[in-house]
Amino acid sequence: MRKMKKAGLGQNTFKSKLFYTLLVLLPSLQFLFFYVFVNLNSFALAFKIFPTGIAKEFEWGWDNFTYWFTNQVRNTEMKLAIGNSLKSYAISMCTGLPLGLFFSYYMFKRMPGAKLFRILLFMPSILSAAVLATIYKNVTGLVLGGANGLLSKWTGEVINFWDAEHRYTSMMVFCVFASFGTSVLMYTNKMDAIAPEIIESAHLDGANGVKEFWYIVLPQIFSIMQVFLISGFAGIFTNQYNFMMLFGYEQPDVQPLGFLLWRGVARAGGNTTQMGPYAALGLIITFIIVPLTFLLRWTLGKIGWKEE
Amino acid sequence: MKKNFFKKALALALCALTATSTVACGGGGNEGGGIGGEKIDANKTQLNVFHYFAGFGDEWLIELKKNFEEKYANVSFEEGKMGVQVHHRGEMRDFTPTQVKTEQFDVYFMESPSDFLNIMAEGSVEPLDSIMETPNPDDNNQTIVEKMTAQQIGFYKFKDGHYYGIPHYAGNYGLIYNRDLFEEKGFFLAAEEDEDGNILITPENPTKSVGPDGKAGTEDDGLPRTYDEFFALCEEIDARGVDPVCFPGMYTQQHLMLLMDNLVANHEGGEQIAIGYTFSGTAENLVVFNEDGTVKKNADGTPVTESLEITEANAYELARQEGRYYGMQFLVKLLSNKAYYNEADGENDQISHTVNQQNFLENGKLGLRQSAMLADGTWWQIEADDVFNYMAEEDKKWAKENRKFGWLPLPQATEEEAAKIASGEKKSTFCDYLNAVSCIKSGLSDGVKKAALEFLKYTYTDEALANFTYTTGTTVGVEYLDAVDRSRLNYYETSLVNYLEASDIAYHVPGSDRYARNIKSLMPAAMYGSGIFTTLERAVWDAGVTADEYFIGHQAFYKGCAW
Repeated sequence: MRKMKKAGLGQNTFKSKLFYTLLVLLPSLQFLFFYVFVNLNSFALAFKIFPTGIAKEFEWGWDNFTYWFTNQVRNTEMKLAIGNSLKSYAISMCTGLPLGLFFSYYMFKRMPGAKLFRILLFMPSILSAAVLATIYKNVTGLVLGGANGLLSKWTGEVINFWDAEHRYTSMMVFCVFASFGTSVLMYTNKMDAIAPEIIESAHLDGANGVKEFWYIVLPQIFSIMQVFLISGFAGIFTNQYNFMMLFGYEQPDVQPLGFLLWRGVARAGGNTTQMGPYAALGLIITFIIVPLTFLLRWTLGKIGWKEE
Repeated sequence: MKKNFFKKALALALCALTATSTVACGGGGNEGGGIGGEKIDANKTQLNVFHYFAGFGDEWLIELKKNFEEKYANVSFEEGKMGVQVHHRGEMRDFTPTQVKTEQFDVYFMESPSDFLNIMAEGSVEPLDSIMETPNPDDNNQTIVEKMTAQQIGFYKFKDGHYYGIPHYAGNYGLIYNRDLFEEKGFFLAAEEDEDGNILITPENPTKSVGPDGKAGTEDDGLPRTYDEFFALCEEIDARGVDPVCFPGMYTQQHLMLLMDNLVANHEGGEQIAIGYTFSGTAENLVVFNEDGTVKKNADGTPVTESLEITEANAYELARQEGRYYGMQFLVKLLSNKAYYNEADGENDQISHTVNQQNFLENGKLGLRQSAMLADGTWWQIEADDVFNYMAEEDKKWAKENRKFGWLPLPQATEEEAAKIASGEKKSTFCDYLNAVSCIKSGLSDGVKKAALEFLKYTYTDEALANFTYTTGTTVGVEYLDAVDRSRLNYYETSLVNYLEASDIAYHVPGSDRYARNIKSLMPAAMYGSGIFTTLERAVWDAGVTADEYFIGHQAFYKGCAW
């Protein structure tokens, strides 16, 4: 309390008001400019049409929205990308989530090699995504599948992990692996915070490992799971699944919607007259995903575990 | 106490670290130096020049700066100052209209600007009228406009009647052949097959075919005139232990799609290609489809064609251009047979263009399997300069000036078209996809503006343009090539300059509103796709797509670009 007085914090003085104002000024300006202004601009861009390609000579209309529905090729590309995004989210949830929980529980129980696994699984978060993707491509391409690759030597044929048949699987394996770092760290930290007495009393009541996991651990970490489920769902159509790192501009057949949006804007190269359809597509998916995200949040709140 | 001290020391160290990195972010560490690091001479007018720093390097600009500074050493543009000091900085970047206005550069040499139309519309650049239409006594009273084509004038003379940009360096992808290797191994087509059916020259049958120009005794003798001759030559080259064509796996799409651009242009000719930018005119050779969607063919296997009046509304019909059909046939055939290309470089996505160039140059010296032709840009020599230099250090025979490479005149799809080229009825056509442009920032002070205008005026004199060619071995996209002294060029440079001088040049600049508003989708590297699922090489390698299938898929793809 004395320290607070000395620092002048917590007092309703001019100095403290000035301090707080200055403290929040920069982040507020940053928010206003980089979020509010940028998004307002992109909202407007979705309705702007540039008949001559000149930014000053624009009209208002719905062309950027109909762009995705009036041409078969563009429509197919959009639908394919949406399908890829939904499929990728489902795979991430069905494999990444349970595996992340399993590895976390394994470490929480201090099983053999737990510390080593923690380092290995956290590695993707330490390394830059570009470096990790390059290592992964080389390992899968040359070390495992290439002409002298391990699997090729074993099976007697060259395996191309990045051809049309395998590239989506290869991409998803990478994404799931790369996602472990953050999720495992969060889960294990939350598990470590569970009071040992609760676990001990469960054991005294005869609970085995599975029951302990289901009835004690899962309810305690459900709030973290909720964060991953909801944030992952909200970003379902903007997640690029490391596509650029793995494929560059190519292989659009497995591109998720997030990459389609990014590619379109990147290709515009700062020319705003070329961005309208992507702004409109962004708005379309926002209208779809926002209510669904709130619905998911409400549902998880209703049916999910409660910590108490 | 000790712990407290350690904490404070750590905090201090972190602050110092942050401060250091912040200082580093400040940049411009040259005390009293210009944007390129050269010390500023305050007695001279200062001119800051930006140039796109990629394949063309910066030697041409260093030479231009030196000559301009010397020529204008005794000219005053600002009160109390005499002469001009040019500073330059090269980066591989693009500019928005606002950036052009606000950044520190006075003169820009941009490459493929994303938004030059808006740079002009927003008033970010200075009108250049005073130097465009005024005869220049230092350049035989020529004007800059006289050196430009109608298509270029149509774009750079904006709708307000002012000129805002001047085309600068030009280039596209094609095939470069190793003439030394061709001569050593006899990779030239013979005028007549010998008794054993050999189509290449032999010591017993040394007479070369007349080549694309139809004249005996010229440099293109023995080179293929048609696609069929080209692939027959490739088979012979492969049979002699050499890979016919190489390209980099990292940038296959870029190299092959732009090679396609030139193949298409070379078949269609400048006028027909221009319709793809103006969306106005009569398209002469549009391939006809059967009711089942397949390509309708004549008895000899060539596609049936028709002509059609093109407008903005139906310009997607240009996807049916016969040149596209044949260009796709050429590339699909090339990729469908591993005997035609260097698989090790072309199918490895870790092989960049510079590594590919290095292999092309080095393999003969190292005794490795060589490639006879390189699919690359006109500027490839500059990018490969280091390799030439280090090889020359070992033996002068590997120096650039002592080796012979040639720009391969692209073959024609049919005998009929080849005959037209040989008779002079048709010219070869080359597309410049770079759209490099020079311009001056608006809002400069009077003195600096005058200096900048003089700088550009000097840049486009025949003397300065020829110097550009001597330095880079390439060309600027305006007419001046008759002023280039061929004796100052090496074999490759001469072959390129001669080819370009004899060709029609098509430029990828918008000539219609629809093109302008879809400019990014209609760029040559993007618009030759087929379906949305794959690139040409992947379509062939992964799915075994045929040329007809690719062409059929291209119809919907091209329509999807802008309609």
